[in-house]
Amino acid sequence: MIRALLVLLGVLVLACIGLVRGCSGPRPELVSARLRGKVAEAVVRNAGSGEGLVEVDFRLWPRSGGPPLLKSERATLRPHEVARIEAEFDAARGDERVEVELDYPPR
Amino acid sequence: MRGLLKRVVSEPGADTAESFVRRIRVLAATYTVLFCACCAGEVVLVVYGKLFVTLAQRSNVETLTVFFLLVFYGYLAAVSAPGALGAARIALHALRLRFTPDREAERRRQLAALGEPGEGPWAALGKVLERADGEPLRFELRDDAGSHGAIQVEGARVAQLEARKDGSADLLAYFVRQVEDVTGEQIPIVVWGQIDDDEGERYLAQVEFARSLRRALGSPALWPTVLLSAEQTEEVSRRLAQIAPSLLEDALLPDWEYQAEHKLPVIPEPLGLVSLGRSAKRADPVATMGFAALMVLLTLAVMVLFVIAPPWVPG
Repeated sequence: MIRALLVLLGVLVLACIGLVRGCSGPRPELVSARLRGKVAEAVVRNAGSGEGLVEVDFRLWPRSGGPPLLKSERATLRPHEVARIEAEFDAARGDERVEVELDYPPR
Repeated sequence: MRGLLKRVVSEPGADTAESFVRRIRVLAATYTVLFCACCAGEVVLVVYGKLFVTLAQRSNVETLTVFFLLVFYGYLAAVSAPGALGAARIALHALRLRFTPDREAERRRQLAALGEPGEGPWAALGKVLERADGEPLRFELRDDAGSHGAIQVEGARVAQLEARKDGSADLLAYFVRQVEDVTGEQIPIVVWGQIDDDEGERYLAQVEFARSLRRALGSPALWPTVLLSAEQTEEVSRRLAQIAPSLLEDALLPDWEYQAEHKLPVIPEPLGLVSLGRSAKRADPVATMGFAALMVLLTLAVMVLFVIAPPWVPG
């Protein structure tokens, strides 16, 4: 009985490890963010071994104050991939301060 | 299998005085772990609520599950809070006893702090217990700190009288197991008063009827009866005296009494054609709270895992 329970526990632990390895999502990390003219650019690294869709929220804050310009982009990251994600802002002047937030899973 | 279930689920501390004391420590630790894990679960759910709602929405799991876990942790935290407090008081009492110059006075003070004695638990036995010399069967529970009440047997009814903080059902299980050990007779506990008092009273009325009929007829015992000799009574008293000091700690922990039912659906609902089941009349708090703690720790571990490494979800 106890041996059977121990075997069951071992199988469960192995299954959990397999589940975590096989079914985990990405862990997006922001490497850098900048503004090139009207295009905001974020370099994102997937620090995890999983893959999946991440959401990148760009916020451009005008230097003179006022409300920010917002835009969201979605991208699928592969395991340990570094990707460049861009968003075009028609109303940008080019001197705004860029703020980027990463979300996984996308809300 | 039945013996294992009895030792683990129904009467985990009944075998020996050492196991009775060990059960109290395990129960105190279980209440503490359960309470802390429930509080941690509530905090994780509240802090990472958005993540769990998103995961639930995107993985075909009802968002209500998150709310269910909130209520589940809250309920178990409320149930285990007196136990966690009791465990803290046990630790505090142990510390005070270590540093006090007069241990007896300190223990008397601790016992007095439990309040006035009251009615304790009772159970119905499958056999009538009597002394061979016809004397009443009563066992005083006393140590250097004072009285912890008494165990009284009347026919098939065994009860803890003048118990502190409602007494302990496991004490009755310990007593019956020791009587079994001393007499060599099987004496099952068939009804627990805290769980099904109506059924217990009905059963005991039948036993009393059989005893009255026997007296009226002047016949041998009609109901299965176990007779205890003076030596056997003395031995049971000695074994009860071994655990009397730990009854103070036991009284600090709440005695949640439940039945237990284990079901294994072979062909699950909505067909539900075949399911396997096993039930126990009484599940000791060590088993019920221990299992609850296990479930809480398991769900908490999964939640923490999801926070550290969010799972893949469809885009």
